[in-house]
Amino acid sequence: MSGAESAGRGVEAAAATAEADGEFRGHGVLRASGAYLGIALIGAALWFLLGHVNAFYSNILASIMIWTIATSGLNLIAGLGGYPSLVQGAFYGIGAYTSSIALAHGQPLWAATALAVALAGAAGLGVGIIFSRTRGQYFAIGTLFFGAVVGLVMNNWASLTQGPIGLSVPFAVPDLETLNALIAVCMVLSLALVVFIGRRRLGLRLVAVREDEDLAEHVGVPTAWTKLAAFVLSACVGGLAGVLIAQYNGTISPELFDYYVGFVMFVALAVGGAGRVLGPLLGSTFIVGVPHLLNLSSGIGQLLVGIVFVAVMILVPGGFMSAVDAVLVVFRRGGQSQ
Amino acid sequence: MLLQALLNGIVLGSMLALLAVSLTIVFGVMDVPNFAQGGVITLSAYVMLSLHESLHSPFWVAVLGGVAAAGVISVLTERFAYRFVRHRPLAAPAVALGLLLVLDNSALQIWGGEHVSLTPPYAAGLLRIGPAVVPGVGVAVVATALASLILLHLLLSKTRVGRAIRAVSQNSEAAAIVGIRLERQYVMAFFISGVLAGLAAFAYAPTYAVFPYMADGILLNAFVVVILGGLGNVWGAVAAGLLLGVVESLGAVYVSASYQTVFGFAILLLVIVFRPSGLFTTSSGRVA
Repeated sequence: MSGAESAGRGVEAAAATAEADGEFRGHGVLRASGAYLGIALIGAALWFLLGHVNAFYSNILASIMIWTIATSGLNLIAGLGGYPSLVQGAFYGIGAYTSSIALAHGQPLWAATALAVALAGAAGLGVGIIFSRTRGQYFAIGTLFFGAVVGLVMNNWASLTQGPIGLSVPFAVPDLETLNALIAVCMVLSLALVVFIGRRRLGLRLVAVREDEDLAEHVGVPTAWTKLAAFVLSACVGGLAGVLIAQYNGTISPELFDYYVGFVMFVALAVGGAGRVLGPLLGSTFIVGVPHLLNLSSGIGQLLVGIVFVAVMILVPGGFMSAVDAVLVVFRRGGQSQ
Repeated sequence: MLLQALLNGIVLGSMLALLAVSLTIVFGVMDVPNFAQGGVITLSAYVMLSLHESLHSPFWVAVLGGVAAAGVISVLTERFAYRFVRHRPLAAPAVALGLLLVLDNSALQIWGGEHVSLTPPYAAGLLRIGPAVVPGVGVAVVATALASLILLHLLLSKTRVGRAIRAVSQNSEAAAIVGIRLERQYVMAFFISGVLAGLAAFAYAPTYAVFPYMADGILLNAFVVVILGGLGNVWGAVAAGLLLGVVESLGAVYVSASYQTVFGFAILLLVIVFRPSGLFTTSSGRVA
């Protein structure tokens, strides 16, 4: 038994190492501790912008950064793991509502946040277990439908959530500057989490699941636990983002978190580059930024947004990060002079 | 009351079955569900409305026009968008979202956003079965679904086109080897899907309203029906549609109307726990 076990682990380790060598060519833009430094610098730069641009742009930037947190969480299960989860909007919403209701009952911010993250994680555990036997399109539609059910509950459980009229959020952060800093720090942490996980056994196992789940199972990767762990982590990070959006907006309502939002979050991740650390940032910038920029009027503006989405995905089906890769390859080749 | 709920469920189920079949037909072509189908339905309904009310065409001519328009729009979405992301399950939802925005907002721009009604000539009729009543538009839903599915079955089983579509859906490489032109079959599949969507628009619009986001709610249920029946399985989709329709209707009447979707989710839950690949999937994943 132990001999077979250790042989299995040896195969797994070999597979993981081989995977690692192959995988990090993907992370070629950011290497090792340079990755953390780069993320920290980006966070600092965005925090500076947040505090120094006018309210219109800082609102958009804050939305982008909070969306980056949520989609970075999604990156774990959908990007690294390859499971198209369309339910991140629901965890986002659970985090927002839980923290707001807890604050309204007099809880301090840290407790409300912990509760929100825990509840979102528990929901993630539930969804992960329910859908543990599904993959691909089935998983996508199933999670989408679950997101719709959560939205339905938010709308109808009026005694808890005030229903469609929305809930007013008690402001629990001393001032806007602190909230901006909090958002920036959480964004850095969520991106760093993907770097961290990506290099550890969990991340490598997730990539194995994404590339060929059945084969991974055969070489001894515990795919069920791996997927579940990724799902719970994704949900927790989504819940954290929800806490922040509730604080930033001051009021929340169910339509901010319905199944459509879950769908768009997945799209944002795909547009930025699923499985790539900076994918969520680029994708969120595009998805949140473009509609605001093309805001001619609801009809034509949204129509143009749609055309832009289609065009971008056809031109760069691998997401923006794959375009960045292509550009960097040109530079590297240029660097090796004949 | 039970009879009424059952009849309502059959009407809803027929609607879901028709929509689900329109979605499942293109499953063999793309790796992801056609999330943009709602836009096709919306535009089709508006075309019918315009032909009937603005251009004063006879009702049935307007319906034909709308159905044809749906087929054409569906083919256009394939030729100009889906074609490029056929085997890219990460990119396809983004393309679908973009298409949905384009289609819905085209409707919004051209016709505005108010709810308008499409009133067929039989709208005032009622069918009485014992103590229960089915409105004329409800009967139309069941009749349309029945007729469409019978025609579809004949098409898929008795014609060359149908056999080609099934072949491509089973194994596209093998189909290409025996000389089937894949691109043409993809276009055909999308056209049929569009026609079915147009028929669904004709059936659905009178029971609800015509506005840019009219189909979003019921389509969500239709996607669930598709996976309940097994992706690519036409008759599975029909059976699952009726099942979901009846269950949701009974749940709405006997437990709670506002949580209707939850009953659908309960069915989904049971199925994916006990039969994750769908109730009626065959191992070869055939279309019909």
